[in-house]
Amino acid sequence: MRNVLAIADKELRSYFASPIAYILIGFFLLPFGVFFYLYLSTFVKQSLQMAQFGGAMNVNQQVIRYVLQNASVIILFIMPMITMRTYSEEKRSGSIELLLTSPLTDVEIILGKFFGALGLYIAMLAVTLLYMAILFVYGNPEWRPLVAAYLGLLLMGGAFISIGLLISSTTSNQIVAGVVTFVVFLLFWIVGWFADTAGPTIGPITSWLSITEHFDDFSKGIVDTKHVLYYLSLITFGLFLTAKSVDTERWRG
Amino acid sequence: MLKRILGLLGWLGVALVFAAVAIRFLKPEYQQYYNGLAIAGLVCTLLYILSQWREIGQSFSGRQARYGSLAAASVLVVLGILVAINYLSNKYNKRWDLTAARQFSLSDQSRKVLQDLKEPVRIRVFARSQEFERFRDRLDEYTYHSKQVNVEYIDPEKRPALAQADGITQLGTVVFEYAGRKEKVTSDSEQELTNGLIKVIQGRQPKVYFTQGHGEKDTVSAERSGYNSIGGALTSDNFVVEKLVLAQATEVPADADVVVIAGPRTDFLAPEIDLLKAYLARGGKLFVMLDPVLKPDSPQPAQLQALLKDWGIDSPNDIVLDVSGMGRLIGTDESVPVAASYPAHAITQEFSLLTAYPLARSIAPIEGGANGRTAQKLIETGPRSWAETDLKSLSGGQPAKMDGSDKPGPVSLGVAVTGPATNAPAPKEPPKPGETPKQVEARIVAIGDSDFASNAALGVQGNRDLFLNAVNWLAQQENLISIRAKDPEDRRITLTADQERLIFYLTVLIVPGLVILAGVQTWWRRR
Repeated sequence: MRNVLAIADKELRSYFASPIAYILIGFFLLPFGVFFYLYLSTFVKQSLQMAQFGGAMNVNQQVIRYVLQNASVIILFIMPMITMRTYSEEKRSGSIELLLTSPLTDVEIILGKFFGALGLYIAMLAVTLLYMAILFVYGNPEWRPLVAAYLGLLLMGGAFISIGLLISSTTSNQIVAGVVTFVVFLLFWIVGWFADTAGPTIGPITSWLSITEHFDDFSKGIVDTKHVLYYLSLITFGLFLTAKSVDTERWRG
Repeated sequence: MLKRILGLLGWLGVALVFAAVAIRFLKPEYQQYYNGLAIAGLVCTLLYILSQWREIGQSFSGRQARYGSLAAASVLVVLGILVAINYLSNKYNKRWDLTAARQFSLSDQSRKVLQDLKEPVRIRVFARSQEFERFRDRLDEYTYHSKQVNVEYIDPEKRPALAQADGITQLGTVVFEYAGRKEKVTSDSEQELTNGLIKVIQGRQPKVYFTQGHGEKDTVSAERSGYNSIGGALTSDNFVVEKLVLAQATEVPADADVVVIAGPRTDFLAPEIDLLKAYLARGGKLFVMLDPVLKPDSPQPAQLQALLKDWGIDSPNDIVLDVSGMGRLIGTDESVPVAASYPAHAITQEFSLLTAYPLARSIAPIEGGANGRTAQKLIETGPRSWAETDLKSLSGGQPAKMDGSDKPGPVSLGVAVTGPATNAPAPKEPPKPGETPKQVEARIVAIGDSDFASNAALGVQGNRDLFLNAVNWLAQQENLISIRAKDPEDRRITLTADQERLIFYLTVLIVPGLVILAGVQTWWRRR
């Protein structure tokens, strides 16, 4: 465990030592801020109009839910840039040989890299909490659905990272890793679109495959074991395949 | 060469997927195109991966084959275990609703109905794709509480055949199907949905009585003026259609959900009117269609007109003429007023089809209502129409024209009114504490024409739907259970213009800008 944390720490440091982490977080916050502002200002306008009719206006269901659903799509675009370098960089520079011959086990290395990337992702989410704080300053949102939504974001990010790690471990070219990861994420997202038009047997399968679809319940403030297990399975499978891929490297020479 | 083509295929797949995503955002209505593009992209990428596998396969030969097949087997085992776990977790899941109002949780009553389900219920939601989420928020909980519930979401614009098969005339309709029976609900509230579920399980068919004895339209007549098509449409909409001779009855049957008076040629007698009044007092539903009296010397149906007046409905002795020329589109003249837009009412909600009324009289709400009942307009003709009161000159063959005594258009052709039942039967069980006792309501729909639903006129687009909508609205049974709507808690935000501007700068410019600046600073330091 100590080795895992040491690698995670090293990974995280290397992200923040270069401008990459800041640029990624910055470019994530830009569209996030736009979505946040647009949903909030519409909500404020509606609040004013509804004041006459007396309907209920809920900042959790009308702002936070949709902002975070949109955030899940931005994450889908940003995440390949976080994971693309994890293995490819080491393969290109040759430092992978050092890692493979070190006393560290493959599993420790993989988990270390996974938690390193997750750390950067958590930092990214932490900044968005500033935005949520604005809502608490000017209003009175519920905090429990918010916790559910961030738990969902964390799990979804983990699933993205484990897939990204796997793809990065198969190539020594960062750009190829990034593009392939991006396309795979897009495909995982797109399959969800077919759910409504596909038949009653294919439909549930495609919507089950879609990574972002499982986040919708979290964004409402619902925690469902099936979504939690889905994300955990995806993370496990991604990391397991990464281990196999790294192992293959070894016996293929 | 082949390798180069396969390499291109990979990039082509990527490009296609990107194009699909772009179209999805820019032109969401082109669904068939972006779905096709996405599938094509998927196929290309898969082909590319397959072509790469040939190389991977080569490395599996010989010494490494054993490792390779071991690895592949272990991957398959892990995949199998994970799929099994997910399959089970989809069946035996547990949900926690963390909202303070528990707004996504069902009430005990709904849960009990769902847990008692013995046979599968199929629920079909007909709405625009963008509206699905509204229904999903509710119906996801129904599927959670019973494995017998199966929900399908259908956009009638994309799959019109399915909508037609269920006879959908209104967007936002939910169809419950249980043991071959169907029940429609046009709401996403828990109360309406659960009541629809209870009704489809109980399988009671609402009864519609057509009065007889005054030359009313006949529900079995196949003549041009007959009503057998609309009678068939009612039957297929789960109604039982029967005839009722009021003059021989001592009261309107207790099982009547709607009584229809379809274009009587003679007036009702006082005892018959008394039966109808008693029926309305217990919360009856009445559908009156009064044709104009064309012969100037014939008597008007004064008794019926007086009954309507009691309920805030004015039915003057006139005939509505329409010179807008819209009727020419469907091959009629000015004696057939045409309506294309409808005042807001539950019956005509989301209804935009053309309806035509051969020989109609005007039916309008009385200003300010009567006896505390205020009628609402349902159907209005266009501005180039009027209600002609001078029936004498009209029957004399003179060309019709608008003059001072006529009411200018738009003319109201139909109204609907509701009022509390003054003599409602006592409920079978006393209301539980905390529940409001159920209000029993009487309803009347009155239309100044009966021919619009006859076999000859049903060819006009909207006539059939309008008639069915009206009967459906009237037959809406009292809700079997009442569930207090769980609205989300009111947590609003009010901002001054300055605060809003501050938030804009903070969220869109300052915070992202600071983070990017920090990045530039690290870069600078590293140089």
